[in-house]
Amino acid sequence: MDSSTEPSRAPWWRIVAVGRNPRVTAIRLLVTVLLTVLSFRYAIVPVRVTGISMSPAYKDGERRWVSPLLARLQGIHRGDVVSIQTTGRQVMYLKRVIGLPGERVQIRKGDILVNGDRLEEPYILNRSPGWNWPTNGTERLLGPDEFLVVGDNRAMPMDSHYFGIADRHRILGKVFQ
Amino acid sequence: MKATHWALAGTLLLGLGFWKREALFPSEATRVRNALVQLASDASFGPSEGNIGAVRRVSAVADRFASDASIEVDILGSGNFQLSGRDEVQQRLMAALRFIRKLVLQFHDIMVDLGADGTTASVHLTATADAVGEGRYQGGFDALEFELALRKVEGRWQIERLRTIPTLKQ
Repeated sequence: MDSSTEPSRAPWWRIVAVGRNPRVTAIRLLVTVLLTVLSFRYAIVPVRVTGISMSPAYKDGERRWVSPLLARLQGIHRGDVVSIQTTGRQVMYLKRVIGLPGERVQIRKGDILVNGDRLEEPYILNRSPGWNWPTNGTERLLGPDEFLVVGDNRAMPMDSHYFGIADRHRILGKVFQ
Repeated sequence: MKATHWALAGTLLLGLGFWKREALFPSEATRVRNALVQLASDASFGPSEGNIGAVRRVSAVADRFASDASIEVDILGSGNFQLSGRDEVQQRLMAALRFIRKLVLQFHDIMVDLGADGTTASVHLTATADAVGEGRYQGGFDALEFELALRKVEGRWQIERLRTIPTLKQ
């Protein structure tokens, strides 16, 4: 009788730990780890919303997904909600893109003006007329890699709401879901 | 034992060795990070803390700054603060404590760039603060980027300069 044709009788704990074929298990594990790392680095990044600056669309404590891949494939458009990196990915700002590279932007009495025209913003519930930016009353011309990003909650005082111009390299991706 | 088992065991041992080496013999960059994490921990306190504990904390925080430290912080909604020297840091912290009942300060994504001589370091980090207090100390701040310059003096890393970096341009 040819003993090489008999099925291997590995102990049960070894089968649980590394499977019947350790080499296949190792390759599967490697591929899974690689796919997970790549997915969470470039495709989808989970985020938890903190604060009220994006209210009412995004509420404090909500969980969302950010996609660097989507931003790269589709580009960044006006109205997109993007995540802006600080020194890393642990803490990021969520803001809405209002002004695009090359545009002239201004906030006057709470209204956003893009190239001199008032922007319609259906996602805003209430706006405070106290918002005026830049403070010198002039328009701001955005550079080739600059985006004006502002939160949706314009009812809060302007000096308590962090907004401004984000460089493209700061924008990690677009928020979706 | 098969070659694959030896390779697996060797990799595990190497990983364990590297981890233990960092834990037992931390690099200067790790020491800087640890000092900053400790600073954030010292600066955080709960509502039940008494005066003696607060004084001890303030002293521990101020001790992390160089005697001629320069601080320039711009906090949204609270304004711009400029402090110079450890004594002023200590005085301002003591004054602020009268209005703050609870503070949770955390540092994230601490990026350390060591100087060539090994006694200076430049650090870029993001801080979050959750505060419960009165007036302008209410609510703390969401997130702020900081740039710090540190110097190693008698084996301890001390902050020489600290300033906020705007994430968004105005």
